[in-house]
Amino acid sequence: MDDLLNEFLTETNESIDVVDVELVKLEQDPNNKEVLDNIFRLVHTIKGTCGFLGLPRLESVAHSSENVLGKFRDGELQVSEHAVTVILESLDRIKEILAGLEATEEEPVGDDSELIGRLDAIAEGGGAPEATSEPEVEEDTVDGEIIDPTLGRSLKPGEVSLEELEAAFANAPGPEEEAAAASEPVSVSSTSSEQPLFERIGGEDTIAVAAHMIANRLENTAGISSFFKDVNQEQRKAKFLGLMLSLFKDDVDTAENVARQIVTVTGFADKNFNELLDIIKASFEECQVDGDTIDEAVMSFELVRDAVLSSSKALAPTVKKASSDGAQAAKGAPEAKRSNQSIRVNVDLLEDLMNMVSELVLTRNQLLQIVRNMDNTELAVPLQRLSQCTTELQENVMKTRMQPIGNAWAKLPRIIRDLTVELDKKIELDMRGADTELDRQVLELIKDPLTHMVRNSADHGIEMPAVRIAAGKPEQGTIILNAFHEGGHIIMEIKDDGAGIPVEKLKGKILEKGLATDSEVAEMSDNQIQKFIFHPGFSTAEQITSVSGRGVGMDVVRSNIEKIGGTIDMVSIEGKGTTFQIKIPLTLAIVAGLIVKAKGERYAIPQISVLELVRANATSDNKIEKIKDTPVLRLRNRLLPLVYLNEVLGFDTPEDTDARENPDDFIVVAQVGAFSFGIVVDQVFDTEEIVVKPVAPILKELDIYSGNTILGDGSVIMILDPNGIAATANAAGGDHKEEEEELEVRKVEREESESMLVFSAGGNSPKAVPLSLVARLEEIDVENVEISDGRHMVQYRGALMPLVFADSEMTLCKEGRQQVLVFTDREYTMGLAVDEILDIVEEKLDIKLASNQPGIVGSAVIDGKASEVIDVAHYLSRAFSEWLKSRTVADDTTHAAGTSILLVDDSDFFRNMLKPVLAVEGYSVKVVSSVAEALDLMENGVMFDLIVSDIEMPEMSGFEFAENVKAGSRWENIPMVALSALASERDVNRGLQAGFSDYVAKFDKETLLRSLSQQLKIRGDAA
Amino acid sequence: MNDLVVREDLSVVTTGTQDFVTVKLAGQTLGIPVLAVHDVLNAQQITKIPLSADWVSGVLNLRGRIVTAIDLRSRLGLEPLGGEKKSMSVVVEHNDEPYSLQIDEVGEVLSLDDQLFERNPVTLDARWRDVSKGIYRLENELLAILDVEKLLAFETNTKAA
Repeated sequence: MDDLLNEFLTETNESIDVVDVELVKLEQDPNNKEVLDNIFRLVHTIKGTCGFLGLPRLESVAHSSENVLGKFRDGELQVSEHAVTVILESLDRIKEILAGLEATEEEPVGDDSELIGRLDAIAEGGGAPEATSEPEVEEDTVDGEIIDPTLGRSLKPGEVSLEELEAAFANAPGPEEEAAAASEPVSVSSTSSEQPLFERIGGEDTIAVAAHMIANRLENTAGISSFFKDVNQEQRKAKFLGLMLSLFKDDVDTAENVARQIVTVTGFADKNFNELLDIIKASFEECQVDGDTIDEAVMSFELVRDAVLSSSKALAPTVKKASSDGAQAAKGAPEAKRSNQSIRVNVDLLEDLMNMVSELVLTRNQLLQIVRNMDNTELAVPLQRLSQCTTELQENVMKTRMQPIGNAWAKLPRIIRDLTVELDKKIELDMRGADTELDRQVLELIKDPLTHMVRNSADHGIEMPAVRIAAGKPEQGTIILNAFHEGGHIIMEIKDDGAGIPVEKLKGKILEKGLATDSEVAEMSDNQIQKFIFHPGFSTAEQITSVSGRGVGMDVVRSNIEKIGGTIDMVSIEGKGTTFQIKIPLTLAIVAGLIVKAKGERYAIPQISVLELVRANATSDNKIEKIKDTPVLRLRNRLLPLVYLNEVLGFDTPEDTDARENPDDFIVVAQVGAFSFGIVVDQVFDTEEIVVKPVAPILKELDIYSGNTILGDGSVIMILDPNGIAATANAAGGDHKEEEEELEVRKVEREESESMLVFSAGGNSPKAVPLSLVARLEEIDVENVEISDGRHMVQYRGALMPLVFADSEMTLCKEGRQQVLVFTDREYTMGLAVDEILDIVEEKLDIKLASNQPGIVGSAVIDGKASEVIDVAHYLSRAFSEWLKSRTVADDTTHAAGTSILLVDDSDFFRNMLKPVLAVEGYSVKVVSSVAEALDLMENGVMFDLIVSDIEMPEMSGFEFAENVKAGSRWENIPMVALSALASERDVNRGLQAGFSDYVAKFDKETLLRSLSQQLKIRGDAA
Repeated sequence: MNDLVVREDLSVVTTGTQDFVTVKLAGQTLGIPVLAVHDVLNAQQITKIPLSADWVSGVLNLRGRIVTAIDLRSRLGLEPLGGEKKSMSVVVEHNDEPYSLQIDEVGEVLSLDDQLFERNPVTLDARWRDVSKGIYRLENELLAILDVEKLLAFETNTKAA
């Protein structure tokens, strides 16, 4: 495409985007002169450039909008919603035409007369009916008086009015002042000729007027006009203005630069330059500048004579290009104050550069590898240097691709504004952290999902004003967009204070669409149900508005975000609002990858998801053990589920894995969300920087690969996606179709599900215990079991460990080895003897029937079977009853006796789990299942020494609870401890901000107990 | 007969003849429109992709581009190439994505008269009929013309499956 046109398109598109935003601002703040001026200037530039390029359609639309804007500016018209809407419409039309222009390089055919008619009607409505026929709305006296005699005709639309005049106009609002300014220099110059030339001429205003006239006269002066023919009047004016400003301010360098661009046709000779000087002189005379000053001014032009003449001679045949370059440079000149430190670069070029740098990085790595194996150190130093340069180059090129996220948000204010009009709602958009930078590529990819979500929030989320008032909320809804960095990721939140996602309505929809059965729905938590909005083909809007509700919704958003390695999460509380959180990587291009081997092929695992590496063989401390067929690894008192890469990739069957002799395995501990697991590989090489390239479309279906890359040695390797591996591992062995569907849901809900260890012990029904509570699995030789004081004991790790039977009907094996689950609670270790360990399953824990039977928390459906979930605390207390009794006295960290604790947790399991644990410690525990209940207690004046609260709870979260309590309630001084599965640094900080004294991860009983006694101590000390 | 010639990607050829690169696959000679061929490669180091379809032999590095290798024998339901012989590659593009077709041997470039073109015989094996544009009658043998677009239109295939 023509360079000039291209330039125009980019620039105009940018301008339009800005105008979009500014207009919305203007509507809210109609008296903001600055905003109005800015809009006017931009629209005006668009119009001017269109005229230059010969785009009549664009020009006429822009012209009519400009008319209306001019009236706004002159105060002849009030800024009204209607007028803004029509102007926005005209901008849309301009965008349409631009799009056509971009596609075909020609202005698309179309009729804008209706739109123009409406614009004109608005302009007319403001009075001054001649405004439409006489487009120069800013028809101030200066223009009128001066132009008419020189031109001898009235101006054509779009021909005159340069930005500088606008500026001059803004600075000098009244004609009286203008006149005063013009007469002033005369007196000034006669008194003090030491004043700079610039001042004596009359400052920028006069020069602007003079430039205007020079430009006009040039066109009408036969001998000289041909030299300026191919530049439009607007630009010519700008050039002269720039030239004169710099000349009169004694900035000769700049002046010469500008001067070189003034003449764009060859053959400009001395004679012509003299003619030009005459014109300049005449123009200044017209401006009533006094004679001496004019002479001096004209003399100063001699300084650039050479520059002008030589540039004319040196002009290359590509005149057109030069003129456009010149236009660019001249454009910068009037805005000299804004430093011209940036240039426009084609995105493809950047992209190429990025690719080249990537290749360079790879080659560098390759060289480093070769040198590492060589004794010759001569190469080492230069290579070191090369390596450093490459790294810096890579960093800088990456930086060029970084853009503030605000760019992706630019369209949102307009969208929200349109929505408020269309839906008759009141919505405020609050954008925070707009300058957070991220990779251009990522930015492009999230733009659409983001727009979609904000649109959704406005359409589905925020209620009608009346509804809001009825619900006791402010009439105006708020949508908050927030972006910030967090450890190599960008977190983006879209938060509204609207209606939240209606659970009941969703339930109906889920059933209607057959996405889940009645009973399944009944078992789901609100949050689980709400997350169905991420399901394909889901839309809850009762009416399909033009805005949203077309059924392509959040599932597309989710898949788009996941495509770039991001995650999306949502919390919605009915009546309170919805918060979406998107986590996306900073860049996609270069990542560190751990190279591993499985069956002779190498694979890369993104370093970001690798936590640590563990080696497991016969001689090492770490051994891979099996629970039924599930391999696990004991890692620092935790059981880590394992997957064999060879099995995932289909090389081996579990039998093959078992059949190996003296296996020497490397375990890559990977984390996906909150779930960590080990990937067993044959060998681990080092870490390499890899350039992620997307896989071919035919491989897209394989979600265990996130891409492929070329290594330093030139071979291609596949990049494994831990996410996909986890999903594949979970699905293995199950009924595939159903499993896959479930997986969709499960992916979102992973944090909520719990790894359960299922075992049998006496009775018929299997029993289960959360895997995270189990410290170790042991097989104990029955012969080693001793009986002391009527209890079964076994020597274990140098101490006596009591053995408790999981079921009273159960007996010890007669011979051989007894399976034992080992639980640790602080320094106490207990063995729970079971008949057989059955399996480990990932399951959402939903306890159905509470049980009166001691030792059983209740029943839950686990892996499709009813299982009894055991109460570990019960067994612990049975094993240690004696010890525990004595301990309350002995243990000086425990201030527990008689201390009252309030425990707030919505999960039955945790309430049942923790109550005995705390009770055993000597606390008196009051348990409630929701914040509301807790607040009721507060109202009734019940006091506690400590509050332990869960964070994620329906209706009101722990954060809000803490904020409530700490905001001057009667519980204000009670220490609060947060208990949550989300224990990232950010959550902790948020908890502390909300008023929690401490933040403890769920299941970390020891820390909880320690924290409790600590809090009590602090409180005791303070009292 | 001219109206039978499929020209869509060869419309520049106006002389009534078309150029094809011939390749051998299990004894059958196939023609690939010469303009569709980007590269012809000798045996390459191919990285296998576990779990992919069996007619995907893997990926290879072609001057910094990652090219997906398609096992044409497997795709057309033929026995794998036995013995010591290594496959050669013909690199074609589909939707801007490079693919390397693994074939036994590359022959020559033939300029063929449109007159020699025939439709696929109706009795042709369905798998072949799908990817063959038609047949050229050569003096000694028949040349089936590969429809590269159809051959590589996996997206639609896999979706339907």
